[in-house]
Amino acid sequence: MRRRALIGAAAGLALSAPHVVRAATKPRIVMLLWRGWEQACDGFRDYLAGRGIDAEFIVRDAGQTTAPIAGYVAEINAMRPDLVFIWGGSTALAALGRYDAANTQAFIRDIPVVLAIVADPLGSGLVPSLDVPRRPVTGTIYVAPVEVQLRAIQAYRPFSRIGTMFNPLEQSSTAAVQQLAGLAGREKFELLRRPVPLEGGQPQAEAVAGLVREIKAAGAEWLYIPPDTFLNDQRAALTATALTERLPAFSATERFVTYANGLAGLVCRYYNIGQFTGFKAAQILGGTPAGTIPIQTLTRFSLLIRMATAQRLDFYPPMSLLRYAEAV
Amino acid sequence: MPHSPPGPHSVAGFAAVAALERRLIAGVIAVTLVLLVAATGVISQVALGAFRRVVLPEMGREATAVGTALAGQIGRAVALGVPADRLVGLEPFFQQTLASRPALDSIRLDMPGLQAQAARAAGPARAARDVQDVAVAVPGPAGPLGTLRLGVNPSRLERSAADSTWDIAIVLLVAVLATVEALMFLTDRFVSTPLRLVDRLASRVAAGDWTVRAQQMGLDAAGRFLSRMNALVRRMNERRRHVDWLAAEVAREAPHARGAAARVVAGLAAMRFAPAALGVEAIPRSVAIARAPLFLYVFAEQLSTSFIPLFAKTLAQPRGWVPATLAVSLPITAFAGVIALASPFGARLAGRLGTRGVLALGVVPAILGYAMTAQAQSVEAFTLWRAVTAVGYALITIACQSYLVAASEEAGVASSGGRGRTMAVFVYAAMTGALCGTAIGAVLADRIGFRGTFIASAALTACAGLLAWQTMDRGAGRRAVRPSVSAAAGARGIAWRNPGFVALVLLGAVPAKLVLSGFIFTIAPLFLQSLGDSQPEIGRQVMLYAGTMLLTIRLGAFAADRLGAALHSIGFAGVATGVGLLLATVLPPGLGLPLAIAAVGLSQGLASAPMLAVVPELCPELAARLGVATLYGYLRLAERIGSIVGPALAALLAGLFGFTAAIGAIGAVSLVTAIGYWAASALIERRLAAGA
Repeated sequence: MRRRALIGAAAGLALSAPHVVRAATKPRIVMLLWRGWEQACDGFRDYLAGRGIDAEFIVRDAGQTTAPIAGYVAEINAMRPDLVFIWGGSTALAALGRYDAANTQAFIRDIPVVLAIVADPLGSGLVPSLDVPRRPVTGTIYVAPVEVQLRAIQAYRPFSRIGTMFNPLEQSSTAAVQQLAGLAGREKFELLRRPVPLEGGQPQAEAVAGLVREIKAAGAEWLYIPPDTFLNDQRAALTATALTERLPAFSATERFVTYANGLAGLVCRYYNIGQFTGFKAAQILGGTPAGTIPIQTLTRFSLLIRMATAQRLDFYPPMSLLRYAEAV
Repeated sequence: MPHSPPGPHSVAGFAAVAALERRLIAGVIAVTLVLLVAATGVISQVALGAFRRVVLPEMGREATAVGTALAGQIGRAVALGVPADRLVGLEPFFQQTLASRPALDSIRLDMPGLQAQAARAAGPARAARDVQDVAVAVPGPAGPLGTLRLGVNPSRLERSAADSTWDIAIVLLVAVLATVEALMFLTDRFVSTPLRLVDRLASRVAAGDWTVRAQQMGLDAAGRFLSRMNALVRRMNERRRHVDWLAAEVAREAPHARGAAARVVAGLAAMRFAPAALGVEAIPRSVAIARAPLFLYVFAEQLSTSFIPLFAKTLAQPRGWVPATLAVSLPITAFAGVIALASPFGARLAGRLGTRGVLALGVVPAILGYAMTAQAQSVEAFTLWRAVTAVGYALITIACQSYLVAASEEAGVASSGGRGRTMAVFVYAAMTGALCGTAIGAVLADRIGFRGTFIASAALTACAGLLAWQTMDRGAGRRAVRPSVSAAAGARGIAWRNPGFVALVLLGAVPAKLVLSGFIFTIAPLFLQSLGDSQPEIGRQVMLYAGTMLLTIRLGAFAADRLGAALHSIGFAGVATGVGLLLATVLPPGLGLPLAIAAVGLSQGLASAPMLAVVPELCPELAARLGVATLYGYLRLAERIGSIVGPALAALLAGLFGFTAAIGAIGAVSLVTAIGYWAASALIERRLAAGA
């Protein structure tokens, strides 16, 4: 009788043990965001849910400024979550620092990190290599290679002169413009570069429209908009001016076309980037060390064309491009 | 089982049977051919008619489907907001479609305010009636926006129809040739050979020899006849035993009659009996028994001739040590090399195991080689299994050859002319098999792929092996190893010091094999593929060499025997080959390549008999000392050098300088060696005349 009770108790304990164990291992993911929860985060969460990974999400929003980030970093270092999801290049630099930084006190230490909506983690010094990041930081790149974007522009309408503007403080932006300049010599076109003037260490929002006019006046046939957070904030004014100046605008990121009046873009949809980042995260949560997972971009990009802008500009894409385009 | 040498009556009987056989076969074959050609002609007409009825609407349907997709995209563009008259880039868009759809000729869009069209640039202008138009409406939100017209080119259909006609013609040709071979085999097996056996037995009995019965030959009419003859022989022997017993009884019981009984018995002395144990007259060997399996096996082996380098190209290339251009020639080189190495062993094995044993032994590596080739994934594996197949090829062909020799010896034809005729049987069977195999193999590869064709080769080889196993007798070809052959090491050295022999080999035989293996087997398929020919077209062109060779073999034998022009034939052949190849470099490939291939076939056919005939002429003391057969063996062995070097040289030249230059180089080699051979043999002849 007593033995039976003992066996029953042991069995009950054994049966409940997995639940006990499982409750203790629900992964905790800190979402360190720049401007709140949006499509990339949706894609990330949806991917993990689809894989049956029931994670606890702890959201910390920087609110489009780097000031609160230091406090969040301290919190993360104390909390020691299973994974940190960082949205945006500026957020990442503020929270992680360069890979070769001497003093790592102010940065997230020894906790795996996935990056999303980052344009150039290599150029900005976040990791020494994309294939083997070596530090526990991996993630995705949300822009297509500049050369591929260039071919898309040329397929739409060949040009000999193109203008671009950029925030000189943003590394991803300047790096993209640099690559475009490198291609200019090989592909025989002229690139007009217009950095946004700084005032008090910050780019001037009011100068954006004037720059657009300046680029148009210099004879540019296209306006190229690199991945640039500052310009994204000014996208309404930027694209509206481009429209009135009858300058076709091609961007590297989706918001200028989907939430503004840009003409076209060869982009990675934020949602898809979020999902791909989820894929990396699932590998880390499954036990793969983050430093061995390569940082990659998507292999397929979306060609967005805003038909209303095309109509206003009377500047239509050729049939062969229209066949593959996503009309917005 | 003893194979008796033919008696005098038997030789005459053999000739009578041979005459009957020829008339019978000719009649049967003529009737069969007429029926076959008529039936196939009717079938091909019906097939082509159905082809036109079915395919033409299909092509129209394909054009409609493409047109609907294009019109849909144009409609979508308009729906997205692009005004109809502002559609951009329609011509390049249409050109993209034309590039991917060879059946379409032109696309034309008619919309209010917009017209755009694209047409295939190349090609002659066609009359309006030749072009079939398909019209599709461009869908719009409020009804059709315009019309899209697609032009279908029926002459592309005609090209497909022509291809199918050629395929049918090839199948017809191969069917005819294979039927002829099959008929020859069947008439031999079921008519001539039983008749020969009956004739032998009858002539023995006519000469009073009752000691032998005939070997059983089955249950058909001839077999039953032989059984009855055997029963007759047995009864006669029993009668004789009875007579002997009676004589013994009489001697015991009635001594006064002993003398009379003894006289009766003595009267029977003229006839011979063997009541205790009858001997057996074995089924006579015939040439057809080796010819059918040989034809079948060469057919099986040559299925892949038109695409070996093409198959090699599709496999994983060897890394590092072999330059890419040489890789495709490795399997061909390996094949020739292993045959050269295996042939001497094969000959010795045939002497020890007999023909049937060696053939059965050879079938194993042959089938294994084909089966493993069918699943090879790299050029190295392909080369390895080609080498294994080559072992089988060497053994099987040597086995057939030795059986032919045994059969012709038994028929009492031991002279050199007779040997020549035996070799002719071998060459004809092999060339017919090569012709059929090359042609059908290309069509087969087009339908079931390269790997499937290798499996077919394995299956056919198995059939050939089974056939030979059933029909060949065990003892054929077995002979003690002649000491003169085994002591031939020193003889080889003597042969190579003879200038006539060396000239023939280096300037006649080796270049011929170099052209064959380098141009026909290696360059031709690769070049034709690069010009865009389909696999059946490649097969038809490569097959030309076998076909033209068959035409001129007899001419060459005639030239050698009657006209005594053997030397000149060989030189002429080399020159013709060289000229043909060099012409191919200046003529357009559509004309030049088949011309060159035909020239090679004609020349090599012309030179094949003279090359053998000229050996005893060029070096008479050598021929007398070593025997002509031994010299032929050395000739064949040396020829293999050409077969081994040819593919590698050709592939290297083609890779470095292009196909046309490689063909020209090979042609030049042929021409120069032919002229050199002419000069050398003239010199040698003068020296012989002076010395004699």
